[in-house]
Amino acid sequence: MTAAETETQPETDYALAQRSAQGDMAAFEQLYQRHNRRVYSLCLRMTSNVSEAEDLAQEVFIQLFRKIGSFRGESAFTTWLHRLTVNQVLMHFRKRGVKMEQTTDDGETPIQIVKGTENPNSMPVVDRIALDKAIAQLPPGYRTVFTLHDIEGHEHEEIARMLGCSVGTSKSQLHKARMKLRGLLRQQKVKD
Amino acid sequence: MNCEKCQDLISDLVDGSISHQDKTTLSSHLEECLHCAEVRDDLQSIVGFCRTQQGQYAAPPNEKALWLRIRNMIEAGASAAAPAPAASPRSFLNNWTARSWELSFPQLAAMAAAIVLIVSLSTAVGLRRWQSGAVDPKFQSSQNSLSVGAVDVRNRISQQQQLISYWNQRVEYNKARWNPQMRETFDRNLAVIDQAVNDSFDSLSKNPHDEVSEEMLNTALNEKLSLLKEFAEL
Amino acid sequence: MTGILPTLTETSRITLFRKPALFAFVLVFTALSVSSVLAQQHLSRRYPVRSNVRVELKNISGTITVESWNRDEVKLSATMESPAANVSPRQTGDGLIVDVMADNRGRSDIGDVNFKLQVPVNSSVDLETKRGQITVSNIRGGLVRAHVSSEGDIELNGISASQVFAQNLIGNIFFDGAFSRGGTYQFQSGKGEITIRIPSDSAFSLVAATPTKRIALGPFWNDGLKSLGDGRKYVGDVGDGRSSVLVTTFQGSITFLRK
Repeated sequence: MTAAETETQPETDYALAQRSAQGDMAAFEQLYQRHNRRVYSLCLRMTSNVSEAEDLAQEVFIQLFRKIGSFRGESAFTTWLHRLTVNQVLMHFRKRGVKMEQTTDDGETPIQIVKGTENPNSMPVVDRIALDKAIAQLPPGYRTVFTLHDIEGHEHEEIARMLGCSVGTSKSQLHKARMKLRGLLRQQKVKD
Repeated sequence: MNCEKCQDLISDLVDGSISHQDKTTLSSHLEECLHCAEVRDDLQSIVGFCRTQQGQYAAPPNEKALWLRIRNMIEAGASAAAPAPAASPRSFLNNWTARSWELSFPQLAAMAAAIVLIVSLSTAVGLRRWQSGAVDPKFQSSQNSLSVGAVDVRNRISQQQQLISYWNQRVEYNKARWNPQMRETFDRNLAVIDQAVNDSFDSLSKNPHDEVSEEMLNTALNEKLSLLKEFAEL
Repeated sequence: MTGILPTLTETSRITLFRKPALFAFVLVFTALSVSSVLAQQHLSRRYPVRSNVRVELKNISGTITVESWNRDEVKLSATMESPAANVSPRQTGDGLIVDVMADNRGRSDIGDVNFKLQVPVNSSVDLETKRGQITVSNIRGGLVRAHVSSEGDIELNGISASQVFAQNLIGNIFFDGAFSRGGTYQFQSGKGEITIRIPSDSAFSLVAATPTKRIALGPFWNDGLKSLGDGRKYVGDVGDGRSSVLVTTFQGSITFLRK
């Protein structure tokens, strides 16, 4: 490796984290530039609200700065930051009194498609806009599990740990969320 | 196997976490039941699409502005522990900052709120490019007529005005989606609060040491900011 | 008077029979009204709660009416104008939350939602709407907060909560109740009359300000109150100043009345 190549090698997240822990704002700004979209997108998917997501992303980076000294590089920085973000959003939901486990008794009206009344065609082709619109209409509890599992790719064991529920609850919430989403997407198709 | 039991297992099937035995039973049900087969196809289609979305990220509405807010908040947090510099007791704000403090919990809460305000104001300084457009011409002319003795008031208000401009942008971005009644309501209310801002400013420009007008102006500007923030989320 | 002028019923009858065009208009109007009523959706739910429950309601547009009753139960009724909003009340550890804003994220086309709540008398109520009137009657809990971001009157009747916050931009604010020792009471309007009706022996520390100078303290006036800015602001104690009262309106009057 030549000296020139060494110079252009970008600093690792771990190195930037260590510099940030010493109060180096330039290093922290680099971390922000690398990861702000990932953090914001996760907040947006979990809340389905632009200004709420922006406020939460802001809070995540402030928390990140406070805690960055405790990052030892044992896991990937993105995994660590991801967990921090999820926790921040969940804390926000708890403050708002959002119930994470959704049942049909708490005012949530399940989508029921009676046989014979549904669209005879197969599922409309899922596109980003239709899906975002449908996800936004999910109750927060369903939305969280769906986002974490189907979009972010977490396993049920991890989700259960994050939400403080059982694996079975996480699975059943996910299934209900998917079914509700299916109903919403079909409704959109009928409206269109 | 009935449809209810089948549909409970479909998610496991889609995720590939179903047991061999359940899969066999489920498959034979799906061959016979078109309704459940349709549910399976739909869920596969949703989950499949979501997997293609992994790793795709949206940018915040303004990455730079968000960074400025974060940086200011961190810096304000760092400086919060430092003792407040003594200021010459000229106005009620200076008197307030010049007092010595033994902080109770409510006072600490108030201080935290003050930090948020300071951060907001300093963020606004970083957002000068949004300055144009939203300032009432009358407001600007009154501002120009202020005497030198009110420079800090003018600066503070100018910073607040920039913050207002930022939220105004956010409102304008969403406004097209509102129904006509909501738009009219917003415009009518904004006019009322703008009137209050302009009246207070006129009064303050005539008498820069008028603390009542200064307070009214602060309240009106905060009220305007609050109106914009609340409608920006619609 | 009945001998000279026809009664309202007589007027209606005469008009309807003599003017067929108007009669047709009335028919169409009635049909439209019926269809608009049919387009509404209703929701009614009851929740068993503890006597000092906290009820939080965040509406977007529509009226909010809260009354108390002698039951440890909250009854929530809502009428949703078309296109109907989703309304999903949530019970939490210490209360009930109705957040129309959160329940309808991503939707910009929803109609007004008019709420009526019946709550235990010792409840705390925290009510917000972007637009619409808020009326609260006979609450004696810890908090009554009524916040209208834009326009809508606020009427608080028979309130003896220890914290009361009422704020709107266009609309009047009326408070009838009592201030408790150590309580905090804030009333703020952009363009509206603020009227406060309290017992004559009320004791509070007052800050009242309006650029219009229309501040009428009536029986609560005393020499200890200081006028600032040519009568645009009054500051001082009434009685022993045991509670704190802050009143501000930019374009309107402030009036104190004795009960």
